[in-house]
Amino acid sequence: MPLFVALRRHLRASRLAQIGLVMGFWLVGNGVARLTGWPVPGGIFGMGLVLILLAAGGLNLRSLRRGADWFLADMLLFFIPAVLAVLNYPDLAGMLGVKIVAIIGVSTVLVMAVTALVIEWGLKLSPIRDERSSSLGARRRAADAAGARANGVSARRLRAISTERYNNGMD
Amino acid sequence: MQALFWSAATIAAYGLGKRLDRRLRQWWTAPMIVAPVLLIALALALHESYGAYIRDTHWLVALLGPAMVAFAIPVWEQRALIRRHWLVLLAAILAGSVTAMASVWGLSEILGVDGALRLSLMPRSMSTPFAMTVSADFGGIPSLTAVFTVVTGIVGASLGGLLLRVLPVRSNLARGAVLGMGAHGVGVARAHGLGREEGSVAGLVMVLVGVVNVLAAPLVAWLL
Repeated sequence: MPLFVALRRHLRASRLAQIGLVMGFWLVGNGVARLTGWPVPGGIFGMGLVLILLAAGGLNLRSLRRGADWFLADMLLFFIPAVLAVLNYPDLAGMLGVKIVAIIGVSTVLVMAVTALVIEWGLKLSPIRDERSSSLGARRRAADAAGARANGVSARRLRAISTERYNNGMD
Repeated sequence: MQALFWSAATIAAYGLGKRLDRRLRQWWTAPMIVAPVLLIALALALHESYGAYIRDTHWLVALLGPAMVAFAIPVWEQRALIRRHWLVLLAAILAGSVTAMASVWGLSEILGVDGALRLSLMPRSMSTPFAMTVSADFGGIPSLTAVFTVVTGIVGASLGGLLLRVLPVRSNLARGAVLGMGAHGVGVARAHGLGREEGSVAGLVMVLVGVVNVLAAPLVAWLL
């Protein structure tokens, strides 16, 4: 038992060990994918396994979190090499590239509009409204207003501040 | 030695992109743009082919596999959000994904983009590890899909700000979902700039979109 405790303490303190653990789950997931023959990548099985273990209490978030964060924070580095595939497609620098960017742009606008409408309709239809987020927003606005009043800032100035904050977030 | 060179160059270009972005904070200083541009310039200058480059750096791409496992953590942390809004989120994810694939198909038909190129474009609206998996299932070219995914992130994050002002979106849930569904990783970063709740929703939606699509891909591929 002391060995187990020492191992667990090491795991919670060491990012490297946690990265290893994430890889371990991935390897197990790959094994499951191969055994079942399902056309699903091992990463999905690994993810499912981690979620089941977290839910069952067999795995503590602290044993995995730092390792997982390492993978997610720098994920961009992992797919940059694939992006260089454009070297194989010089056509993309011409008319074809313009067409593809146009397709992506129009399609993205449609995707975003549909997503927004479905969520807004869904929230209107569902009996449990989005009280938590709307009341959170309302509370935040109320707190902002109270703070502004205390500081002697007018309501109009406050609106300007919040718009500015909003625009900064959005670029 | 050569093997080490391209791996080191890739990591250096990424690190440089990150530092530049922290300093300047412009849309064009995103490491997602700077790093590939630097590497492409270097490869062209050294007359290096993509085949030779990827042979030395494919181990980095292989790390996208375990990165998929790491997505379990944001899902677990947002389980309260899933329990509360699973039906609305699922409906939005399904509608958004169908819209993404169908619109790419339709627009490609109109503009005459076909074959493997079209199939590589279809999964562009999800996070890269998922998109590349779906692309392979469809018979597309996963590395090209990575390119289109990057373009989607950049385009989506810039359009997202505009659309959120035009569309009738009131809830934080919808704002987060729009950015997570439309612009995956870049959108999630943008959503965190709007607020904590928007960021959480966007991150969750991004992962769920990926999982739903990867699970559905073999079936969709069979229909294609």
